[in-house]
Amino acid sequence: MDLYLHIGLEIHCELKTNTKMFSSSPIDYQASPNTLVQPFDVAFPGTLPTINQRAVELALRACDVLNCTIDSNLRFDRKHYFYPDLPKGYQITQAFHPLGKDGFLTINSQKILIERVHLEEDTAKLVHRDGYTSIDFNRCGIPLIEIVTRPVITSVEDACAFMAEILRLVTYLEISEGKMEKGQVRCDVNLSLSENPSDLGTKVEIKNLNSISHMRAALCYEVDRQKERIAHQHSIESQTRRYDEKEKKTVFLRAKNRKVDYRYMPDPNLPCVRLSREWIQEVLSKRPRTYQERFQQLTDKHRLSNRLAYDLLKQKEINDLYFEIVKYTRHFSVAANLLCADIRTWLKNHSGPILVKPEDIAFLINEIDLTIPYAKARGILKAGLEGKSIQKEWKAYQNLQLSSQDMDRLIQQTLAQNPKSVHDYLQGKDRALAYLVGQCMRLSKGNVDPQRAKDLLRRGIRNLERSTMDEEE
Amino acid sequence: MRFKDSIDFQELTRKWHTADEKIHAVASWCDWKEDSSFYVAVKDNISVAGTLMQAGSHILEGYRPVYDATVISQLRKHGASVFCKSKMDELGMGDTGLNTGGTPILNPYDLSRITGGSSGGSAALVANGCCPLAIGTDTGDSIRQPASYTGTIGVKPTYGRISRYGVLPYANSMDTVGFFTTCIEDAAYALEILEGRDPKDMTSSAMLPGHYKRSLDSNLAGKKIGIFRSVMDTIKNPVFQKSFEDLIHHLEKKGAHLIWVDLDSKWLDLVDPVYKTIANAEACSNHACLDGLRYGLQPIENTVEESIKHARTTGFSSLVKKRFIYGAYSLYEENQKDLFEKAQRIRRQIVQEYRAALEDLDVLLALSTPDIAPEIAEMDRSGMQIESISISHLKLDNLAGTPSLSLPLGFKQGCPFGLCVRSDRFQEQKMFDIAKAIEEYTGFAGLCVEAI
Repeated sequence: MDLYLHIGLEIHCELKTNTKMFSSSPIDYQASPNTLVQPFDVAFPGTLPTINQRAVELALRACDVLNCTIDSNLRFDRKHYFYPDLPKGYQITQAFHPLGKDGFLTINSQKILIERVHLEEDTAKLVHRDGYTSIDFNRCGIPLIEIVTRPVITSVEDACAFMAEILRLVTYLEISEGKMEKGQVRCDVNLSLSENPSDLGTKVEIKNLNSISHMRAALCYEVDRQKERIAHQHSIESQTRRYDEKEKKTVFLRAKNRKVDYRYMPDPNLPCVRLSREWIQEVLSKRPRTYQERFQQLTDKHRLSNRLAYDLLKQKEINDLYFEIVKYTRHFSVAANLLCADIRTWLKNHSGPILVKPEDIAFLINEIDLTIPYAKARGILKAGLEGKSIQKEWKAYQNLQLSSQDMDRLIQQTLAQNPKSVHDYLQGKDRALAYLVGQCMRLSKGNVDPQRAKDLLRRGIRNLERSTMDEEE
Repeated sequence: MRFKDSIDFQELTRKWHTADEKIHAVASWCDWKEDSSFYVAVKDNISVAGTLMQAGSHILEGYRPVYDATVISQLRKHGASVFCKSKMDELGMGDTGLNTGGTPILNPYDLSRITGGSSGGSAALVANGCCPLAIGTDTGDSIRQPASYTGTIGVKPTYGRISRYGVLPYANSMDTVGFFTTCIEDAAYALEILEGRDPKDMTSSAMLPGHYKRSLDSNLAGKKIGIFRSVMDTIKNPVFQKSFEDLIHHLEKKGAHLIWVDLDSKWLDLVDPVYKTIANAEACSNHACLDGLRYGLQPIENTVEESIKHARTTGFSSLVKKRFIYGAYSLYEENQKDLFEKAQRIRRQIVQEYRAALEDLDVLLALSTPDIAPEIAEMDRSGMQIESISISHLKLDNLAGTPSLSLPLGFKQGCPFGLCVRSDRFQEQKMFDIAKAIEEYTGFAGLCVEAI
């Protein structure tokens, strides 16, 4: 019997704002418990919500990138239930009018339909200890976006790929740090099997998966568990389960025997805010580019090879710096190569941020083959990474360049030491010139611009030839 | 008492205590400052940092706010000192002054009668000459009805004029902070002190503040005064009828144009049911935070669920619980369309009709209440009857957010009754102007019961 798998995801992502969604409490994940709490966050009577504009801007970025239709009327609703981590007895969310709806994200050539993307506030954090539970209200009120897909994902691998892409998107959009392990992005999965592809079957919800590998393990286990039951003619009960990482299986949490009525009601304290088309456009035009958009730009506009583009995109820090640097130079591949080789290596062996300014790196790049050789640029860059001033290093190199007198002497010396090469070049062997340049570099201990040396050597050889010819005459 | 009256502080504090013993209007005393410009009573649903706030309910036993409501800061900025929190009907849901979580509030004019509510305590203190100003809130008539019963001026400004930050909510789409005074001049000044856009309250209005007191103009010539015939036709009491008729003859003599206003009874009969549906739903939602876990009554049971149940079962009176049940019921998914959503749609219609009538007028007049304050012994406590338009017309101003006040018009059996003067949104100046003219006619400026 063929069974069809139906998966839908509900993803909650904490937004990277300075303050909470509806109160002015600062957000700091390192703070001691219950130290970042305003009267509104613990629902003291009489407190009122005010909307965090930045949160709306970050949510709009997500709506845009997930191809949603954006609602220009910003409206909030109350979702009622009683629980100790929900001090108001309701959560402010967007039930009736989500900010974004009817979007999609393409995974493995399949368009995964997204039902909605909406804003809401996070609940307090319950910490279960031996025999009691404590509540930390620092988290209560942090802005969240909730992304809900339609149940159209048909394989565990696609579900994991979707999740991985969401993590990458929120990181690139700079709306979240995107760390599932830290609880900044949480995923609940709805999964069901059916004999008929157009039927959905009975849904089982799996909650609190905090990594993609756990997600993969949990879903695989659950699919097998359900298949087993179906094979033995047992029914699947609608329920909520959680993943037990130690036992490596999903475990029953609670039954879903009746639908909970949250008595959704528009929040009368938050009037409908009209977002003008111009403002929305402005917010979206300033948003950071996604991984895909950066790849397009690198290959189409900057004409980097696919291989180099992928290499550059391996680390966000690296390509963030790249885009900063190319504001000041058009030597795209040089920049890319320096980043992928020298800078990446340096980063691997050192902790801490890069201290060199993008403008300085760009300056260096622009001087290559004009006043410095490529190899020398790499050396100056390394010095810059170690804390030295790039401008000073470059200046110092300039000063080391030989005066024309010294240069002439060097050329003569090179030619005198290598008569065979001179002869070979005169016979038409161009490679001999390259050899002579190398010898010149060796003699000068690298302090000579090879292009300059090449020109002078060529001239020097011509002069020699002429003088020899003169002699012969 | 009026703002301009000089204060003998010792005399005043003595008066406060004897008044409270007589009428039981004080919920808790505040730390007052001796040399303040004036003293204000504040309804016990408005947060004063450090002072007990019960809002008439056991569920808030022991609760002390950690912050001040915006109106408190504004009062203090103008030199006021809050001397007490006044008693009120539980959580703002009540119109008698009896369901206060403690002793009932007594009408200073007749101690066997109610003050009305839910701002009964504030009304009684002003009526008793304890202060020139007392702050209240009006969601369904909670300032204007007790003002009528206590012979005071009760003002409900336009929704959004005064910040609701720090005010325990009842029905947020209708809650309006207002106040009681004994003369129109003081009322005009009080609005200047209290109004203004508050960034902490997204529903507060950005309209520029007015200079109501200095612009007061009681000239009646040419003013378009609406007579609310739909309401007045339901008033049967001959004393009331005569007072009203004498007044409108006087207004006409002074040059006002009288315009008879009728609204379709189809809409008027729906005012109370629509109000109750919306208010109960919003109230039930707002008070979901009163779960006995973080402040107030905090019973410790074996599980969180049991604690919440215990707190909410013993902390709320049955009157309030009934309202919550109605409210929750109307919000259930299968009921919303026919109850909550329908009420909202009808509300829009009612408001449209009402404001269309107000648009062409300077003010609209009707008696605030159909009779004087009822006797306590005769009160029907269930509170769930549908009211007739003679009472429920006051709710029009809550549904529409329009400004409305009650000022004393006359006496019957030694008890006062009031006249309701209302205008279109943000037209408080017109409302105060005509009210001033009426006050000049009645001579009731500064009216209060002389303290024992």
